Amino acid sequence: MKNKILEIKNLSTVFYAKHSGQGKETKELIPGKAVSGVSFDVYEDEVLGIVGESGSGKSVTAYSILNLIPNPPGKIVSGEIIYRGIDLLKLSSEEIRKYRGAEISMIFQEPGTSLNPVMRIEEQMCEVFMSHGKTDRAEALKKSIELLKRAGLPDAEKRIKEYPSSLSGGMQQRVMIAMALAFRPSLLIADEPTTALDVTVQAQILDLMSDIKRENGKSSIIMITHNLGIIAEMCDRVLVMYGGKIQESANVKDLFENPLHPYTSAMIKSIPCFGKKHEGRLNTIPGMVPDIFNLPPGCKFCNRCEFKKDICEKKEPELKEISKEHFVRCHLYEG
Amino acid sequence: MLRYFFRRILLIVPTFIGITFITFLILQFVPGGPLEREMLKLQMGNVVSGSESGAVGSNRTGMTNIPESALKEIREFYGFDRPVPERYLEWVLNLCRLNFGKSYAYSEPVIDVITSRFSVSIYFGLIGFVLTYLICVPLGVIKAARSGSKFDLISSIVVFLGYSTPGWAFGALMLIFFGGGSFLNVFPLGGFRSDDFDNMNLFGQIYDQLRHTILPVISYLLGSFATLTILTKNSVIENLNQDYIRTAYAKGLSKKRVIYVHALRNSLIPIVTGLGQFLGILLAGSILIEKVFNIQGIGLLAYDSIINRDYPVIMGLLVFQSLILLTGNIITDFLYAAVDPRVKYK
Repeated sequence: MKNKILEIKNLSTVFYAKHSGQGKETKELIPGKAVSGVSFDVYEDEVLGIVGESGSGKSVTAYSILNLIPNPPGKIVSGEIIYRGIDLLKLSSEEIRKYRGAEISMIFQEPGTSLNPVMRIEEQMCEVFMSHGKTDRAEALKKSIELLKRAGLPDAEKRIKEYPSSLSGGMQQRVMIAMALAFRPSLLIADEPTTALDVTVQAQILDLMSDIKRENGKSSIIMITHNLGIIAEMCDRVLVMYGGKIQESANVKDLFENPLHPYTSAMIKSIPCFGKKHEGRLNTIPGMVPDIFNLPPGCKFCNRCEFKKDICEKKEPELKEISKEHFVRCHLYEG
Repeated sequence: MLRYFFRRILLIVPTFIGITFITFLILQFVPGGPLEREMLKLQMGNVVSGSESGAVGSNRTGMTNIPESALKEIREFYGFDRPVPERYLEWVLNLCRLNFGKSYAYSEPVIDVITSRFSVSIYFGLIGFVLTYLICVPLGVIKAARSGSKFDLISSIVVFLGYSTPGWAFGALMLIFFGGGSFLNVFPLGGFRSDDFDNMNLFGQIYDQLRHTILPVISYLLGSFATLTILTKNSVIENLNQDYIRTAYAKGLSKKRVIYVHALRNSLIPIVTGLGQFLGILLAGSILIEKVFNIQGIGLLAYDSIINRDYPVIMGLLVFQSLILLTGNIITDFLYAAVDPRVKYK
């Protein structure tokens, strides 16, 4: 049995807003449940994938781990995030700072906007070292150049003097990765790291992440994506999220070979396949992700589900273990 | 980059010619010019002499009283006998030799009239300019960092009260309360310096200058405070919602560093953009405030010279102010590129 490095228990994060999403504006701020009651573990040396459509709550889960939810409008209303025995949510903002960027790092979807446009890369890299303990500027610069080289940035000594805007998207993401690796974090959270990049660059970035993981030894990665191809390629275990809840969780092999939740199988069916002739249009899942201010009381997916029963609208199913380490939240498997 | 600014500086010439020529042209058509004033003076003289000699009222309305030769003389004196383009060309040529002509009203060279007034306005303008930026930018940043707090609310109320109060009215109020007279006697009633300024020692001079400076500067600033403070606040708040701020927090930086380094640097872009124009506005002076505090500044001079149709002074002021605005624009462009590395001029 592998060691747990992160344990998330019953995490709920809400965003307060005036809009109900039904065209009518409410007078009071009402909470929108972006994530409700999510629990999962991350083990040492694994890549955990979180997959789901936009608005399913996967990014909010990731930001909640480091308490990066902007408050207001967001708020983590309940839950524990236990990293090596310490509940990160109970720490003061000064205390959690020691974990951010050092033990747990993040890389983001849009490298272009995630780097400060008016600061040189040098400054943005060095400040990571300098704000975590006593590193002088010269040493920080030396380490930064090393990291950039490791992240595959050509001409690192010269490029480090430039502003982010003079780098390509792929290069910017390499800078972000280099920055995240400053202290060899034991957990790297990657929030759709390749979504904004060209396909060829995507592959390079994924390769880089795998290489780094191999070199770093026992580090873990949480890979957030809506691209099932990346999940198949990179991950050991997968969580499928929908409507702010985990709908299915399994080993990557089980998930693709034997998807249990109708949402998961619908997603897998929607992947266009090379070499296979499609009749007419590609498969899609009809309908939209539910509005977080107006979630259905029963199963969150039932309005789009082809196996919908009466009970689905009334009662939310529990997350249930069907086979070893394969959990699903669906009435099809109840009782 | 250098080429761009060289081109911008060259472009000042045609713009400048455009501004001055149009104003020059308009001045020719404004009624009540020097010619009509002289005629009126002569007419009045005739009426007066006429009534003395007893021949009452028969010719009161006529221009015929003024002999054609006298009219011609006046026209020649002011140069109105020649066509407009020719006179404009002459004015430009004189300008190139820094000869602004002679003021009609003060019978002094225009350059002397303007520079003496200008130094007063530059004094107040620069102090105001520096103070506004020194106070408003930090205030705006703190307001943004503590958005929604009591401090934010109260300072907003103060700033908007200032914005809605005309500077000259507040100046007059301050004079009533602090300028001797009815209540406290802390500050002088106005003027740029005391009459015996030249006889004071250095510290006396500084003290005297300060006493004469504080109230007018407060009046000058009252309005511009709100604009810059709120601009800074909004700009910082907008930047605090950007992705790179999330990155900065995720890197483990302190809140201080995130706000005062990451957010502030980006927020300076719109603030700096306004710098050039703002300087121009401050240096233009304010007629009303100068009137209230009895300061002989550029605003009053402009007003007086327009009322008196003192064409050479009007044109002289126009030269100074358009040059300030035009260079202000170039400085703005330059600063823009200096604070935002994404801006590149070709």
